[in-house]
Amino acid sequence: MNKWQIFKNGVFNENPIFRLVLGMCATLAVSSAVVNGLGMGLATTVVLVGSNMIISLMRNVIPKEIRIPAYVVIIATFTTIVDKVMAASTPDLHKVLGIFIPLIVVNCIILARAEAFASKNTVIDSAIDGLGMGIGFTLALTVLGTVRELLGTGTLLVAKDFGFSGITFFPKENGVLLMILQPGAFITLGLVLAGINWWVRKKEEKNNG
Amino acid sequence: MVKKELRLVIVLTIICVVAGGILAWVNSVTEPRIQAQAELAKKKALQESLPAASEFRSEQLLLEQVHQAGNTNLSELFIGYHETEKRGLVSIADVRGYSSTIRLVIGVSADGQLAGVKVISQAETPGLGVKITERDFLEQPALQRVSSADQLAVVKDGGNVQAVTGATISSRAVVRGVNQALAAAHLLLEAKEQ
Amino acid sequence: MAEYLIIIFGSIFINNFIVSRFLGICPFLGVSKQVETATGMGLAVTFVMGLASGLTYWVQKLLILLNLEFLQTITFILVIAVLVQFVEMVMKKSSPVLYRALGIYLPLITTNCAVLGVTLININEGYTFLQSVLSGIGGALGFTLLIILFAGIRERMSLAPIPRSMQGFPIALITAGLISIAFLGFTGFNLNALFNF
Repeated sequence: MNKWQIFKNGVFNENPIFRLVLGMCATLAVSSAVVNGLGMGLATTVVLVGSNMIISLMRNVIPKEIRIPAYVVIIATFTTIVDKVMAASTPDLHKVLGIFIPLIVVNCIILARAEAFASKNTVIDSAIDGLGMGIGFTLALTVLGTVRELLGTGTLLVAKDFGFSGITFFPKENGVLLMILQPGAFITLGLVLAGINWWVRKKEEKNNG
Repeated sequence: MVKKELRLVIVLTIICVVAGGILAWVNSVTEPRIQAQAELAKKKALQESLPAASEFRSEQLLLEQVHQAGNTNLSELFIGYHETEKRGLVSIADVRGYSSTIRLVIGVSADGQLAGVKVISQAETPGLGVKITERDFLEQPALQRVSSADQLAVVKDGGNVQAVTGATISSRAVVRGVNQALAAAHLLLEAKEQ
Repeated sequence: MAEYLIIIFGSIFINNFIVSRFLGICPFLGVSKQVETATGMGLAVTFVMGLASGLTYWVQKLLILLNLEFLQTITFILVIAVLVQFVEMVMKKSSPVLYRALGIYLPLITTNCAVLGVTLININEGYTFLQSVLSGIGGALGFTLLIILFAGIRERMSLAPIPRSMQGFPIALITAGLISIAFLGFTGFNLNALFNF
């Protein structure tokens, strides 16, 4: 596989949320607004790229028997770094994402990529894989965040940390409150997944003639 | 066999020690900035709840008296100054709402009038309790022209503060915080008169 | 007494781990095809979450004492991993029956975010030791209730003619969304008034 294919694989073919259906807790919890989704996605991307690189670098040093605890320590280190940096630079976003930042540690995508990819490939390929997966995750969160924020509040891209009050499409009173509440998370993701399944199937049928 | 296990332990220990070292360094860099951000956010909230003042000094002694008088939800008190003149009292209150602890900043001006109420942090129900942070609730007529001798209550409890629809518990919590801040200011004003 | 009841009932119905806090979704979707396995998973999680809540309470005390709070995430996840291993070993030796019933779920629990999640929530809420343990058990019971309910629905759903694109995860997520709407009914339920007789 060349570098571009590795990247594209993470973003589309094996998109962590839409195709592999991994990391659901964070996905459902933070997709209530575009900026929350973007923030969470980028935080996860940093952890993915960092841990993938270090694990790939150390793949010949870490004995097979203790690889899982070693991976967890490496991932937890990157997670804590991201947590601290966000608390120092974007305190409002940090507060909104809350415990879901430390919970990046138990996001299945990261351990899965460490085990399935980084432990077998070169540093650069692993970094690209991490980047692709991270961008794929961010993209999916942004799509879900867009749907929920727009339908739920009538506004898009509210970003308190940057003093941006968002683009209003219709007044808040007309928003569908359910979309930003918990059921909206489940239902939006369910419908988007169904739509993607339908689209992928159509494409496959076309390819098979 | 023993040698191999020893190697496993050593490798894992090295990884943990290196990780701990890196985190200690990251912590030493970010911690002062996190503190500074929190300080800044607090200063801004104090300023907004008592616009007449420009400098705030913490009041430890008064806080103890206020706690003794039964206003235990107040966690910090500040006297606001402009140059050397006292402009009022700002209280930080932590009150239990419906699903979270609501942190409020309440300013009372030197003449005993409620100057401003702000919510700094909360995690109430989205769409319902969250509305206590909005101006429609915090700047409603019943929260204007309130003096420190008054005691507020929501309509349901016989007062005239309009609770947020569907969020009486959250609204009551805010009122409780405001009442305690008013009581603290009253205590301060009374002490001055004597 | 009342405050303990509030913590338990609150974490089962109002702040339910699955439908309100979004913790432990992976096993919720993954291990909920049959009521029997769902029950096993639920019980194993309850056991580990109760223990982890109690243990991390003291770990956090130790971290504060040593001024090492920045190691919270890393120590908590390691404590949970070791705890799960330990429970597995003890169970295997002392109670083969229990091990056969719950053993296969144990390795999955380390990466169940509900366990790490509840320990972090306990710290954020400033719970005491007993409150932490009860919040862990209550949260896990809420998880168990949901996963069993959900498995019951999915057993029936496997017989229903579902459109092809909706099969699998999409219909499961939408079902979870409908359960979540039902649980929204508990929001606004005044536990204080209920238990402060």
